[in-house]
Amino acid sequence: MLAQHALPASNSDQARIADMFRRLAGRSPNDREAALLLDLLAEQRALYAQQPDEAAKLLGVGEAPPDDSRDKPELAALTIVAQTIMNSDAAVWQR
Amino acid sequence: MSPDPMHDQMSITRRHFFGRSAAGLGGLALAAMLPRPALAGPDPAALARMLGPHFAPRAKRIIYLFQSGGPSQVDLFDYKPRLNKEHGQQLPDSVRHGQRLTGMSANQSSIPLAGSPFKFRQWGGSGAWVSELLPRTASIADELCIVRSMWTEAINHDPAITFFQTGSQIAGRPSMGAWLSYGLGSDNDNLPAFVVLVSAGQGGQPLYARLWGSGFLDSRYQGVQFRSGKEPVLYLSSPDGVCGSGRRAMLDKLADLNRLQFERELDPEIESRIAQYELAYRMQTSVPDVTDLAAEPDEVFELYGDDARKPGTYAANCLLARRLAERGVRFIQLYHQGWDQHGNLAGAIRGQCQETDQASAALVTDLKRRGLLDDTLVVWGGEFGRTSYCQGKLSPDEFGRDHHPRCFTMWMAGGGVKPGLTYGHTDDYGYNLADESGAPINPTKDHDTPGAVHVHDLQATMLHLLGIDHERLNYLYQGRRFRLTDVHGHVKRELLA
Repeated sequence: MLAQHALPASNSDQARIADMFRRLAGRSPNDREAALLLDLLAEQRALYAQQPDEAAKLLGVGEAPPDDSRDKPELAALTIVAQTIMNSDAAVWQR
Repeated sequence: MSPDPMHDQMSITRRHFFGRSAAGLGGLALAAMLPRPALAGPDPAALARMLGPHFAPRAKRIIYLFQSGGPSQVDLFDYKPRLNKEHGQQLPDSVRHGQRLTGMSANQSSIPLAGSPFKFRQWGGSGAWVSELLPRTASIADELCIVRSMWTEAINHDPAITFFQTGSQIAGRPSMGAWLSYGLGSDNDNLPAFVVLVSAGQGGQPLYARLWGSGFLDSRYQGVQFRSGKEPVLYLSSPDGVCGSGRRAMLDKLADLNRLQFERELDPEIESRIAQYELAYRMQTSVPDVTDLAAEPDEVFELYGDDARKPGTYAANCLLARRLAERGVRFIQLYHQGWDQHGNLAGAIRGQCQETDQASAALVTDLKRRGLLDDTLVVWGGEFGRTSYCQGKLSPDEFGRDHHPRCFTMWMAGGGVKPGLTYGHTDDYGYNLADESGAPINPTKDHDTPGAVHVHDLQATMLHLLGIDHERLNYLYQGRRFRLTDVHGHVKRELLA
């Protein structure tokens, strides 16, 4: 859902990543973090472009139905980026 | 003054701080942080002296078969014919000496002695007394080191089990498996050093994850529970649509991201987070491998019993414990609930024994034939014992027993304990610890009481068998050095082979 939210085509990759990061970590990513996540997005995009079926499977996980008008590999790659941010320590607020 | 090795975590941070100004973050290689993080401190030798092993270990790992609820020692191991002779008569005040009872039986107008309805006899060359309820355990009596003189301070379940596991009746300290993981590290980089298995569907006194928690120790030392069924470790497998190489690429970036965060925050728990993600990735392969019992031959299931084919049973968990031990898991903690027989003892304890007797004995036998018993310590026991008097109404076919912390029985096998030994005595009423003549003794934890084994004594002895001096393995927290044995505990050398 987060990735879907961030996907609108008018946004650049940088803007999408910054948007998701801010929502999860409560701050903007610094340059190194942003660069890392851009690399990750490129990697995952290439991976899911070759495996569109896998992208559809990933988007089938969870209760919210994916928006079928979106490009599935693109949305899947952005989903992985969202997961990564969510699992990063920057998104942990209490321990 | 030499640097305090206990400041290990902050000294990683301190080293990192200086390292950053000189050589940058690259000096902190991920690989170096994984296995023994504490050794990354400024004085590895001092830390190594404090962590284990402190001397040659007798055992490399422990399988702890925790019988939760408090098994009745007077119906299993501690033969008291006098209770049968005086069945129904009052527990003499001269025996009880006004000692506290639980709120559950303290207000009973009568506390009649209850003889065990089960037959006892001596077994094996060692002549250990075991009741008919445990025929398989009895058949390996010569392998067992039976301690009849255990005692604890806690009289209710949760404080008592917390005391056994963490050395304190109050929750929050690290569990024994966490201490060992901290002190000795892992022998298998692909599995957690501390694994927990709980028999499924037992009910009884509740168990909580804090019993296998790491307390103030680094969170990577906490126990990992393996469940029965398709997902032994929750949330371990990748979701649909994520392939191995995609997950690997994602984890690499995640680790990089976390290292950047560590650079900002300098919190050692971030390093633990990185390490745990890596372990979880390796466990995606290692856990399905170890938990799949399909390749075990039929004779193994015959040994452990048919129950071993049903995932989640005590028998299946005993077999899984052997497989984990083979793979070098340091501390394997089983729990089997349901030993809390306040009433309906005769029927209920029979069921408990049927669920556990064969598999407990099979585990010892199986470890032995594989050559693993020499360096694996198996421990069987509950959090306290049960009273020799009856709780509730004593009728010909119905009786119960209340909690009894003053004496109870546990057994150990392998791992450097003396086989074929029955240690310690209780008085004729099965109420107090006693000396050889049967005269009651008053144990104290403040010094070593011959013949008596306090919970801290057991903990000290178990650590000793793994090559750890329980007084040296400690951790500085909130200005105080903590140990598993607090400021008590004596290694009971009489129990050692």
